Amino acid sequence: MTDVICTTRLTKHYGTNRVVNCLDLRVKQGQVYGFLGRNGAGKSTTIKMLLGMVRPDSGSAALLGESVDSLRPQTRERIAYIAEGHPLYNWMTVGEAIRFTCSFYTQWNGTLVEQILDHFELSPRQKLRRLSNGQRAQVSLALAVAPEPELLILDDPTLGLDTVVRRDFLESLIQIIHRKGRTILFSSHILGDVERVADRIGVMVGGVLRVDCPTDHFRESVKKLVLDFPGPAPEEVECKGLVNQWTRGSQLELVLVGYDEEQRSAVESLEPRSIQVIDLNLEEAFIEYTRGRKRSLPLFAQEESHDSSVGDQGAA
Amino acid sequence: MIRALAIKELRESAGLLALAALGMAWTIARLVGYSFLGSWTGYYGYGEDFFAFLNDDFTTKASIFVGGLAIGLGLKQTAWEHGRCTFYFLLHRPIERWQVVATKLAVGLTLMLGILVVAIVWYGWWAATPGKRSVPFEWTMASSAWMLMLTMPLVYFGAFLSGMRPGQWFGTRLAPLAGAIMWATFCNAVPFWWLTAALAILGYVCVLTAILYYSQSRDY
Repeated sequence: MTDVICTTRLTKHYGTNRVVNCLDLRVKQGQVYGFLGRNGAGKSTTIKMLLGMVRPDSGSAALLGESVDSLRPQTRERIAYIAEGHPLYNWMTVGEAIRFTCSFYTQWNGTLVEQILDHFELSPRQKLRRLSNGQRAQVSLALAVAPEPELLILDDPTLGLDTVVRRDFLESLIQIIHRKGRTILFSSHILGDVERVADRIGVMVGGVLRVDCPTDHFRESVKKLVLDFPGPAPEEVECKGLVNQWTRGSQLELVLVGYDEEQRSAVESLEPRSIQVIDLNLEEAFIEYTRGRKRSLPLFAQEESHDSSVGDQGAA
Repeated sequence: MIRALAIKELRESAGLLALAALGMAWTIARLVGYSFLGSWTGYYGYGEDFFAFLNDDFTTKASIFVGGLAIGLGLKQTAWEHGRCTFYFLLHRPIERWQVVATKLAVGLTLMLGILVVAIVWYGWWAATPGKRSVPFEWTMASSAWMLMLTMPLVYFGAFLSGMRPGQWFGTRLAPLAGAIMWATFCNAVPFWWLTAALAILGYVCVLTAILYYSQSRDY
């Protein structure tokens, strides 16, 4: 499969702050890629660089095989982008927004727009400024998919939406994904959404892409271990793949990536009274992985399968 | 698509345009002797022998109202879009970025110059109509107003650049606008029309180059 999104050592500074650090990202055709990270991790800046809204300080990026420095209008026509907050012209009605957007495209699926408006019970006569956040998101979605884009880039599209609207939005998104093998990159803070939709995730931590692997693989690889000691638990433990650790009286909690025999031996060498291995869901795994102490995180994505690339950038 | 973009710009500028049009209508109405109290009360403080454009306050009032329109339009077309994040929506459309900027500038210039031309021609035509004024009128008397028209785009471009150019502090952000106003004032003070034109064109080139540069290179 070809790379629809491809970045090479993409880097951006704001002042002295390195917001995105040597990002190497590959998204293949037909993939639904969940782009995760805490606030300020560099997700939105990356997306803006991909779309030519922000200029990188170094490195390069290409969408649909074309450098983002010089995306031609014909290529841009094949890419849909929903910015964070669903910016639209509030003075327009839904119908005016559709006509305005439609005028830029050579290909426009009016039937699909009507279906989406009908599904969400939106009238073309409604003023955009009178719509709720959820309805604005629905209009944005309709405008984004109407030109039948090959690539959709969505920057936190469900931000600020209530649970029901979010579910509706995502179900529509899933339906769209199933059409013609589209590629989708979307950032989100809501891990449940990502779990439902994405088949691959990337996790940005401090501007570095620390995780780039299938969603299931990430969830299954992050484990929490609770070690119970007869006396006080050790304060510091060194172990391969260690993300985080806490001592609570006689208990030591460890978060490990890629729990294997080597790690098991290392943990057993501490001679705990018992070892409890806890499976985490995606949200818990994400939280444990990204909220770590001020220390270097181990690199993730040492997968056996070929379709998973190791996030080897910014290795500490 | 250019048409749709131009219509959008026109609609977004309608409020500012209406304010400037009201201001200019009020200015001319007073100069031609119309009282807003409902009766014709003679000429606006200059007596029967004042010369249109030469010794009235048309140019001063026009520079206030049309200058205000120029500043308002320039900032609204740029900083307002930034503030509402609609640049993300607009600049991702399949159109070259310079075309978006050029359309905005074309609409803004047309509105600003259009209102000034209408005001000058309306007032000049009234002054030239026999029986309206006891003093002669020549169109050359309107040269100060035409000079204003020549330099007013500098103010508009300066405001546009101020909205387009990134800046940490409000003061430095408005520097292009302040510079453009000073340059326009200087151009108007020059006694030779050809020198005014040359200086104004030099200003246009500098500011438009900066607008083009920042629109292409800035982070949105």
